[in-house]
Amino acid sequence: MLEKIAQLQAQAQADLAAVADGPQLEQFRIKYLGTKGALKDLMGLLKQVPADQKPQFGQRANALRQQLEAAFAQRQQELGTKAKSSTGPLLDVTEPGLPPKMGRNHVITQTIDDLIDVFGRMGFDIATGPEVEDEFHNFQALNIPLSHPARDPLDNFYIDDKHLLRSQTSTIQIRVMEKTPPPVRIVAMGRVYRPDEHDATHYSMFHQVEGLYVDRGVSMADLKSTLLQFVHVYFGPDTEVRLRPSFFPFTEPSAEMEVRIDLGNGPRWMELGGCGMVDPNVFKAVGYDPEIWTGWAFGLGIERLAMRKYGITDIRWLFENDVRFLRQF
Amino acid sequence: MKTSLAWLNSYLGPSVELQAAADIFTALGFPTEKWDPAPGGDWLLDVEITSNRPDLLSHVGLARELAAATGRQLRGPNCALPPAAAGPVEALAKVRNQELELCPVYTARVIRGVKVGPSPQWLVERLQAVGLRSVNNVVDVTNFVLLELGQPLHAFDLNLLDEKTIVVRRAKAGEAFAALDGSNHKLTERMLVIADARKPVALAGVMGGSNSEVGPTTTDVLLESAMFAPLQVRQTSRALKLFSDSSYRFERGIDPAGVELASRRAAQLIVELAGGKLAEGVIRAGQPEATQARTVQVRVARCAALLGVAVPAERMVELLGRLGLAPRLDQAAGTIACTIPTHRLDLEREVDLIEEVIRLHGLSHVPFKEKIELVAQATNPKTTARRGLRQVLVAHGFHETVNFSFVSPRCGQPFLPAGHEAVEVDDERRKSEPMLRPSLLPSLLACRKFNQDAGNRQVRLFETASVWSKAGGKIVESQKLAILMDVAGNSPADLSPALRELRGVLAELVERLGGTAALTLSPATWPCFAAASGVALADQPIGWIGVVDAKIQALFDLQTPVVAAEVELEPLLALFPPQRKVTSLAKYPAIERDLSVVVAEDVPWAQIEKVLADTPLERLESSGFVGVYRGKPIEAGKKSVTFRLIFRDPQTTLRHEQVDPQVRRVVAKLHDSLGAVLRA
Repeated sequence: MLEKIAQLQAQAQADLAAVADGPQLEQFRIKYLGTKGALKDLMGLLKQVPADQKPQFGQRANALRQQLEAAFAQRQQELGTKAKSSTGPLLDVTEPGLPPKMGRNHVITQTIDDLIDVFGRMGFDIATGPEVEDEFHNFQALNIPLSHPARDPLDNFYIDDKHLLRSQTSTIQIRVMEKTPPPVRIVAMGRVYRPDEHDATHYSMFHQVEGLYVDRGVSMADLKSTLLQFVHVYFGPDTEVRLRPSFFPFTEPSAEMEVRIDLGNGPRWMELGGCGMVDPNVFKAVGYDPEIWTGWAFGLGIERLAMRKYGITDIRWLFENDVRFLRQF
Repeated sequence: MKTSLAWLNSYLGPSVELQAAADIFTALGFPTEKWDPAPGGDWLLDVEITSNRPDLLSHVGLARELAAATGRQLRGPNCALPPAAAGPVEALAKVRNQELELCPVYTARVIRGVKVGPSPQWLVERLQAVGLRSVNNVVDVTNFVLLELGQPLHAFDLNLLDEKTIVVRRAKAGEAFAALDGSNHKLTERMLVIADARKPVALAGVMGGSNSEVGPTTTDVLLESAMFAPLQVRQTSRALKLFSDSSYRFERGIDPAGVELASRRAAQLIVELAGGKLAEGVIRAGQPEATQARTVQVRVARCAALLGVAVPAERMVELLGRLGLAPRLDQAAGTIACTIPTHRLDLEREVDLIEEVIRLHGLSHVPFKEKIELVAQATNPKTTARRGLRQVLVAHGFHETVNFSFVSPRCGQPFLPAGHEAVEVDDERRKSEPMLRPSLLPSLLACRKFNQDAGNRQVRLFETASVWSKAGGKIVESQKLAILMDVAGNSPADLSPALRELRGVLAELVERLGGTAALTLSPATWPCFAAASGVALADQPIGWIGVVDAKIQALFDLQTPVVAAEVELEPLLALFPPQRKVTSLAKYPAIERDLSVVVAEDVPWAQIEKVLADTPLERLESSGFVGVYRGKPIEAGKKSVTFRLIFRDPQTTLRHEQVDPQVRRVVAKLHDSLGAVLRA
């Protein structure tokens, strides 16, 4: 009886070697491993086996089954998907992917996040503040006296005599310094408002990100150094920075910061935003002694940055929120 | 400031080339990026002047700055008066200045017997170069001197002034005024006018009147050179929407010494170009001639500390000297004392001088350090929470939007909280949308409409931003989160899964931000939502969720129904970071029982849930909603609600016999309280 096992083994191995495709492999499976297959028949012979040979027969038959199952599995893997029946539906692996239902963060948020992440890594905390402000925080504390043209109703959205929509996020600096003794190292961001007729390049609302650093012995060299490190991380290590004199009521000296970067048309100088050393009058307004504490501040407009970076030619796209636009980021 | 290069060069030695002039001004902080050719080979440059430097709003001012920066010579104009030949001015005209605060000084000169006619070619060209039309020799002189020295002037026809008197006074309420540009105005008492004995003849600092202008028949001229309070001029000019080169300069502040200088220069030119005889002296109503120059000190060491670069004291002296500040170095004290000329209204403090030093020395001399100081800072929890919140929403297909903060009252009004008033701006440019949005939902709905017009379907939107309303006269600003989602149709079969999905997103937000904080929804009424629920977090109401009402849907012209939610953002963010404690995983298997009970249509799930919660069951691990079935064999007006009970014993394998009595209890309780019948 044991020879029958050996015969079956030899025949099965030969048959398996001849198998060339899926259907043939399936025939092999039915012939040997199926419920009415040869191995089942073999086990059926067990009762005819002499009692003393039964254990050995059983072991050998089981070993053969295991061997054939393993060989079948290996052959199946070798034949891969061809193993499927050619008559049933085929799995077309070239059908396109089904897009997951993911939304998008708005490009303004993404830009702000990128910026504050860099400053976060430089040890800056994040601050926000109200958008409807009083005149003290929007003007007076920022060294913008009553007679200053920046207070003009034409250039601001006044709610009443004392309140207006903030025209710059520097108001947050004031609110933070009022509450926090120096040193201070914050980056603030949010919406600001300045009346304008809306067109491709003008909108009455935009976003700013501002940095403020106040400590003992902070100098303009610290400002330039921090800005350089920032642009190296944000725009790339080849970016250059330069400052041009400018005027802002809340900084003195004030400067316009420019970076030389390549946005696809070769390296060019581009205005990035305003900066300068915090004006002593601002420190006085929040109760810091300007003889002890010095500091720098900078601010930049998010829309302009994002528009340049992504080639957005109409600022209104940012606020229309057409999903076809939003999905490009 | 529109600047003629030839005009500028007429005060400079040696003269400066076009590109060099543009580069120098830009480097000094006055960006000059645009220029156009002007007649006679001249160039018209557009120099951007910052608001702190009104002294640069003239050709002499700009030449002075350029000379200081480059070491060129400044050759200012000759301002010597011609000999007086018409008797004392006091005999010819009178000036009464009744508003010394609004008009600190008013001066008048008189020139008699002028011959008004065309200006000479050089004057016409100068004015043409900066885009001004020549009027006549007298008017042209006043415009020329304004652009030369920065001091606004006005020439009146003396014979048209009633009683040959000038009165500086406030306008009478409703007083009429016809300006030189042809516009007509009704004045208010807040406005300052130059009047004669009877009527206003000029709006102080803004524009002259047509009733007293110098024309072909004029023989005697009264020349005004004065100083008006910036705020006063600005308010009048804005109120009447009347803007002029004069108002632009008075608003920013003028050189007090320029009042007299410009008056002399103009008198000289009028006599030269229009003939006539200058009356002797000047009528001055107000403060005496220019106040004394200020002295400001700068510490050399402070300059180095603030800039981060040590500019040598000698170099500081050189630069400050070029600006005409007469610097005096005290070596021992390490200080430099400067005398500030009257035209530099902006130089008041040490730091102002430090800025002048580095502006002329060059900001490129401030070095870059190799390293910056760093103090580690913990991540801001609010920022992390906001990011987590956006992550959940984005992962569920919602697109973040950034919408304008203004809405029209028609769209905003329905969303005002009960008892609150709208916050509006009073601005011409926001006439149609003056309201600061009281809710983010009108913005999202308008945004949905925009996407509808663009042909976008199955839109999911959200926004986090501030909203405003007024309560008890106080402006309330709060941060909200609003979510909006399209629904395929109007039937409960469409709306119910959409609402459940939105609820699921809210629950996920709470779970993500706050771990175990309890989010509860309970049926409520809100006019903007049909089928609304109030949303509460730890029993505090934070907002609404529901199907947007058909009226609102129609208001925004939406074709498909939408479900939406709006909640307060702060309570959500405040949950973060969640305090998580891990529960050990169960070792023994649970027994799950799905039960279907038939109840009346008007029995909401919340009531079933409450009964389940109020019926303590032994070894119950959790219970939850599975689904609702309507239709055969359930009779009309009823529904079959399926829920799942999961029982587990943490110590051992639970047997069905232990669970059966618990299930019977809950079925009985549901029957007693809600009339529920277990489906076979």
